[in-house]
Amino acid sequence: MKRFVAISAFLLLAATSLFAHAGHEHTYMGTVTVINNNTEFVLTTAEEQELTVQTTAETKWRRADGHAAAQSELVVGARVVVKMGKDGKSAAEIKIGSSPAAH
Amino acid sequence: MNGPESSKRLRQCHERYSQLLQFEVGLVHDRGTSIAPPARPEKKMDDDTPESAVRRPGLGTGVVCALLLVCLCILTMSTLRYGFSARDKPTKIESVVASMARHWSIPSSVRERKNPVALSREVLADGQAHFADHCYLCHGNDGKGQTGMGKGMYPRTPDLTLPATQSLSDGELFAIIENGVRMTGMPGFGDGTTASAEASWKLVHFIRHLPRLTPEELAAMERSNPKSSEDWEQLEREAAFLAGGDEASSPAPTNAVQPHHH
Repeated sequence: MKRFVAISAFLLLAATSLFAHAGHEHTYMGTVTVINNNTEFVLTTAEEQELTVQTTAETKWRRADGHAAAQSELVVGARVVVKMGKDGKSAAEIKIGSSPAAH
Repeated sequence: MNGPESSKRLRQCHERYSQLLQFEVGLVHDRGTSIAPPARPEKKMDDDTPESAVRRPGLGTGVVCALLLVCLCILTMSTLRYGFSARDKPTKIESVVASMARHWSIPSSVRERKNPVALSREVLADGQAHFADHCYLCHGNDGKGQTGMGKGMYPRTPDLTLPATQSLSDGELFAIIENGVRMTGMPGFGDGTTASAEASWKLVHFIRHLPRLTPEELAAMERSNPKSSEDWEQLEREAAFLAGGDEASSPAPTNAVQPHHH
């Protein structure tokens, strides 16, 4: 019985580690609601979830067509697609789309 | 074979066997073991060969063997304890040896070759398209190797914009593309045809251009990178969302977090 429990616990831990999914990139899409400073802004997703995004000097800024953009093009109300870096904390790439002024 | 000659050969063999036995006995004694020497034929050496001259190579060999044994033990213990991982950073020795091996693997006749394809805008465009299609997965469009695959290679995928690569000759770059590099993630892309060689020479031109790659060229490469149908769907959803499409049918994922394809 003890052996069975030990093996089960081991397999459970092994399976958990397989699904840990650490170190991979994620993509978020939403509308910019707040720009705190040069290294942080908040976006709201379609599900009304708020997400604070950190940017660094390494963050790549692009327009929707893939061309390079400047960070200053980020404004409140703009739609963005954020690809997070492997650290899961800061953005690796931010695509800036349409903003309210464009409508 | 006549009688006297056969006898002479037999005597020579016997002398050689005797010398080998002497050498072996020297080894056993040097290790300090108490193994009795096996029964052997009567010692028969040249009179002018001192015994120490026979024992000396045995001592040296024994020391070398002992050192190798110690190194093997340390390596085995280290491996059993820590294992091997491609995530480790290659040691300096490994890097130096690998660089030397790569250098030697390319014949000097190939190493000294100049690019036979004349540089032109079209040639550079061909090289760029080829690189974006075949090489970006490991090297990245910018050639810096900072991709998921590139950063996990052992040895790491080199930054092609740095002098370590840019200082290689045209022939060396060509040979690496055509033949690959053993014990690394670099495959040989050549198939021995003229078309393959021409494509590789064009790539050599593009690799030379990598340090001066413009943002526009990078964007063009990203658009031409091979993508799966899922990638295309994701890009289309992103493009529609960024263009201000209906938010209700926006690409926002059901849980607001979409795993990036990797």
